[in-house]
Amino acid sequence: MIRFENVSKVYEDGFKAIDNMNLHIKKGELLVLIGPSGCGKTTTMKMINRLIEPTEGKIFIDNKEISKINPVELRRNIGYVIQQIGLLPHMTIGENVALVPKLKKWDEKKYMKRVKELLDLVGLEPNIYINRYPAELSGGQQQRVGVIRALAADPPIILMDEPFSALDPISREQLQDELVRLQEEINKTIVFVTHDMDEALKIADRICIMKEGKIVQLDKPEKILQNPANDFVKNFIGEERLERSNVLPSINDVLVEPMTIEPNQTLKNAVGKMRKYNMDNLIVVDMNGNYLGVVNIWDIEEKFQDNKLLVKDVMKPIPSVNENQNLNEVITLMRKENLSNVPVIKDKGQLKGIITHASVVEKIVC
Amino acid sequence: MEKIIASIKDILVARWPQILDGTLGHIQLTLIALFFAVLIAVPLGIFLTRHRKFADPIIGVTSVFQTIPSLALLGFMIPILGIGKVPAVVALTIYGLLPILRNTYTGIIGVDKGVIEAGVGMGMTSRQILFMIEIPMALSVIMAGVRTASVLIVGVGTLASLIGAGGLGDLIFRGIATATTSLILAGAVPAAILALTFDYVLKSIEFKVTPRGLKK
Repeated sequence: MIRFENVSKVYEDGFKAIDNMNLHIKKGELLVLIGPSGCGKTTTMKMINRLIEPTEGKIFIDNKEISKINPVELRRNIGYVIQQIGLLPHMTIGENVALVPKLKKWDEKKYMKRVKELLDLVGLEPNIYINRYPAELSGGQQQRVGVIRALAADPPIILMDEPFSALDPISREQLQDELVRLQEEINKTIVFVTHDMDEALKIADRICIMKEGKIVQLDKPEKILQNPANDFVKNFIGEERLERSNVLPSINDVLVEPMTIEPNQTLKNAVGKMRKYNMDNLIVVDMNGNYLGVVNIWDIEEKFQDNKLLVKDVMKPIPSVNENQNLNEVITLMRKENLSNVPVIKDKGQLKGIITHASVVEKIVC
Repeated sequence: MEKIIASIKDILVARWPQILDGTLGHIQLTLIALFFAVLIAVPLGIFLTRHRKFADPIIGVTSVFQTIPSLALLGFMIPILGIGKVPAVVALTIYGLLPILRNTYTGIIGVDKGVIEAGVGMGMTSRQILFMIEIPMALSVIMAGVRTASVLIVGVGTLASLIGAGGLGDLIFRGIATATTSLILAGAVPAAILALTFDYVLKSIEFKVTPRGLKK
């Protein structure tokens, strides 16, 4: 959809904002450009609607080189939302939203219908708001109008320059949610500039992390969290977010070697083994290693006087898990059933190992 | 006191045609000068917002005009344009330039950058930005400049009678020459009322032209 080919931008003062950039923005995706200030993210975005012209290289939209398109014409087909909102204060909300359709000389009936649709889309009752002035709306409402103004002429591409960063945290969250919802409906190609990593992770289909005019990493949010390209990206995402996103270790990582006993052993032998290894229970497996149950020191103690009893007579079945389940399910099970340990069995019923509180805690904490 | 009031009454009755004449002449002089001042200063101010490097020198020049004592400025006109209405209008126009020019310039410069950026980004041409964004949003500031200019012109206009342009100055200077207080007042009071009226009328126009969304 949008393609940058070897694009560089050097400002008059010699500052190199963009350094030989190649970027391909796909149709219908929400691409977030992010990076520290001065990384060239805004410059990149503004080159798409020719508010800034590249010094070198070419930019294509739908395979047409944009330097050959009249900038006014180009911009009327690209929605633009900015941090300062920029509603025209002397025009009503309706007039503001209808601005680009009017510039494009749409029929009045057509654009008035469109304006009402759009106001509905962001939850602003048209009858109430269409004749109000921007100053009569809250910041969050104003930026909603800013967003639908960009959608008014139904452009395939929308550029958003830190649109929510001047809003209060609650409005910001709401607008982010709305944008995600809206995007499912309208499916535009959106280029979104921000410096807020949480925002990027929340809304992006792909995130493009930039530094000093170059792309450091461009990938899906979860991929970036899992495999940050380098220390810069790691730092930029922040330890806290990386940890939060850390996937739990797999079951195999927290398995410990079980102490087992066969079902036909005497209780005396069982107690001896527990003493030797300082355990209060043993896992009972048959000769082929199949899991049968657990024998517990307290159960043995109750029935110890009875010489005729064997391990199989006092053992109890406790819930077990399959080796392919994920750790999250195991932890939930342990919590719910108040278990101190859970046997893990292979597909054919053989015991693989056990997971204990201690083994889980050890893995997660370190 | 009563004496003065009585003599004003006499003068009003006796000089009524002259007062009316003077007032009408004064209004005419002011309106013509104001018209040219707006005609020159507003486009010039807009031009300066497009070519900001010229702004300081040109606004500086008009400031210099303003610092020339009004009597001297009228005097300068005599060797160039002689006496009568034309040199007076020229001098008054020059006098009215600065407030309009400065307010036009600062008014347009002061328009919210975000709104202009949004306009450019949406694909407005620079003409559309001027007429749909900049002028409407700067209009109240520009009108304030016009108001200031009008009051100035009415005031300085009384001196224009010295170079033969007529107006209320005629009555005032005749009063001074003959040491007749009532005659002076017969020129000065209408002049003051005229200044206030201009200010009031332009203020109402200013309020009318301010779009609802911009009213405080």
